[in-house]
Amino acid sequence: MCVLCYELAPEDHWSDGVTAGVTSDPPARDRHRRTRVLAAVLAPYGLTVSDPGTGRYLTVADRKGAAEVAAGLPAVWAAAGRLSARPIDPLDPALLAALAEADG
Amino acid sequence: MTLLGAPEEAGTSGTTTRRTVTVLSGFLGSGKTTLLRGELDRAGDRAPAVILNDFGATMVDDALLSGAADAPIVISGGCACCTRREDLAEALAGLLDAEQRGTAPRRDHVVIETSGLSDPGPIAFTIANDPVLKHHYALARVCVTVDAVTGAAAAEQHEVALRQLLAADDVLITKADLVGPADVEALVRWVHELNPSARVVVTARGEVLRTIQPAEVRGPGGRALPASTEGAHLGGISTLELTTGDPLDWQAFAVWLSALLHAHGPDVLRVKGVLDVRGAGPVALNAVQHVVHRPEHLTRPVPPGTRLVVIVRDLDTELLERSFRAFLTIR
Repeated sequence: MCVLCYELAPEDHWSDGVTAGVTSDPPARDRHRRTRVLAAVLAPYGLTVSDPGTGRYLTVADRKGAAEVAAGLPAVWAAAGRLSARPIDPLDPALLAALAEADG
Repeated sequence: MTLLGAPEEAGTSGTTTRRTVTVLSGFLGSGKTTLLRGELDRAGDRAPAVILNDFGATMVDDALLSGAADAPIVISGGCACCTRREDLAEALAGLLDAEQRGTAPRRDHVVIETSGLSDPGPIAFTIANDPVLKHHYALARVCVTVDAVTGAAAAEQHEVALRQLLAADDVLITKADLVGPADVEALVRWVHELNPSARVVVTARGEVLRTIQPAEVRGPGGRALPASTEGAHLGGISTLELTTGDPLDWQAFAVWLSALLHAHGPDVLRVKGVLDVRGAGPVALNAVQHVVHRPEHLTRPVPPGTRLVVIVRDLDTELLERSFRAFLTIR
């Protein structure tokens, strides 16, 4: 637990084990990229993803204003599942069609 | 140690200081203990620490192994993957404790011989996620024995035998002297159809007869020979090889795989391969069921491009590949 904010420290996740490049601050760039990818995936479900820029947390929200904070990818999927009317599924043909359309 | 020894080369600096763990699994009577005895005899002073888990209340294997090395640590009375994970964690922690107290030498390598009814996945999970153990131990390999006479039938009849086979990094075919060469050859190809990422070692009486690397049974064009093993009547198990010529975006890949595991985890039986990651170079990825091990940056030279073997149950592999590529093209 963090002694400053009293938040439980999230477990290490395998997806954090690879960083692109050896620059002084690769996590920020990786984090920005991850947020963009998540936003593209969750947009067809009517959800948005934003990065408050503090801690390891992202915010997942729906169009009615309901929002959850989530630390790490498993928590993002769990939050999205609660906020979405239909299950988040990477094999969902509607999602794949939306991604293809966005790709142009 | 040739079969169950620690890896000859560490993939990253992150694994060099941790003790390596080999999980020796295989269905009942498939020759795990015979193989381990031979390995311990050959290892002599460099023998690994051994943890045994037997399903029955009465232990037999420890008696067979005693004298070959230091007394093995025994976990009896249950299956390590289901009911005794705590004991497995305690056994591994006990090795550390004995080392700290100076009552045992440091062992850089541990072999866990599982019961014949254990699923290696949760055992790997215990090693990778225990808050103490994960800093001291790294799973090196899952070795699975397959009886040359009865192994294929066992995998077709028993779910756990099939799961063991799919979790394997090394498949050790045992008792090859009891069947003809053609039968051994057919078994090797069958194993590779199921698990193209596995190395296959043919043994008899604990001795290695030959080793077949995964690449040796690959077809032309870089794609694994069979894209699907549904013809083997193994409960909708399909094998897919995902390849890319260009380096891929790690974040897009990580989002894809984590979403897949979240939505379909129980049906994703194995993910293993080498990714060519943009900006980071080659990265080895290994997941046994829902347990994804920390990726390893590889320092040794590997062929360019990504090659990832995915073994799934009751999932549309065409849709899976479309999904993989769609996520990688997100801008």
